[in-house]
Amino acid sequence: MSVSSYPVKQAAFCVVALGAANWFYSPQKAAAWALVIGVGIGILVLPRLLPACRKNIGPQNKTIARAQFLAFLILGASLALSLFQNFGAIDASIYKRSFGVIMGFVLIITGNHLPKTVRSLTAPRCDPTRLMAAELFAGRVFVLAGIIYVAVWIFGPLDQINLMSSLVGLTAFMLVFIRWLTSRFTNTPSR
Amino acid sequence: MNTVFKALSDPTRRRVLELLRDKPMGAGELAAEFQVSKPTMSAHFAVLREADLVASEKQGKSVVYQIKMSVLEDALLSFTQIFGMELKNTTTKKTKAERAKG
Repeated sequence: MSVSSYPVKQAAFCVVALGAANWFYSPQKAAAWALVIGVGIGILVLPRLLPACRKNIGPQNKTIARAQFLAFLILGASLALSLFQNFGAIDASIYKRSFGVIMGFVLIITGNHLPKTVRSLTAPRCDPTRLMAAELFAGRVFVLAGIIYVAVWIFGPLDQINLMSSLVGLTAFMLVFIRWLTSRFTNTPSR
Repeated sequence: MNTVFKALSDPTRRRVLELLRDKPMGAGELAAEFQVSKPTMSAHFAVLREADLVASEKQGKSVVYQIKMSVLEDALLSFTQIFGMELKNTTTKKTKAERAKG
């Protein structure tokens, strides 16, 4: 997928429009909506100040465009849910479950792309083989945890859902952390 | 995603990815594993790069390739292996005798 195929500007426009709509329908939370709109504009503008992004070429730019698009998707979905709740289209339990499902998908997408982050082979103290194995493990754990997380938020009982989802997330992060520690201290770097 | 499926459809390219799963390798080192000409190998590398499945880096005079696959792409590659579509060693890997002949 090329950089231009991520409709970043259109997604940013949707986020700002949804933020403005939320502001209009629930003005008592004006500060929160202003903050969300500010974050949206920041996500669009700040990467343009990075030298790698200004060149408009190279894999880094594509990664940034993908990350921006994902961030706008999360913000947009959250704002749309708030708007639906304002209109009474969804009740509080569905609103809560939907946020959990969105977070689960964030975990899945992040985990899926984690092994794709490639560092320079000449980077100091970089053992590519060890790094690749650790990133692939982390990616697989996050994808699996994300799937379980989504399932918990869809099917789990509402009174225990916070505990169950926290356990899934914590277990995933602990597994990745232990794997990172063991790979860092048990092997001797090749360079 | 089309480019990924195109890249994974060829057994030589799948074998390249399998080799790169273990460690980053030089272009010459990889080419030595196959009975194909260097231009053909270059074309395979180009397809893999276009699909964003490998990253290349110039180190001195040689180009070193490292794998750049997402979890989903890695699973797709594993599926092709499970369903018996892996490249047979007899057709890809040069035997010791053939290498000795040069």
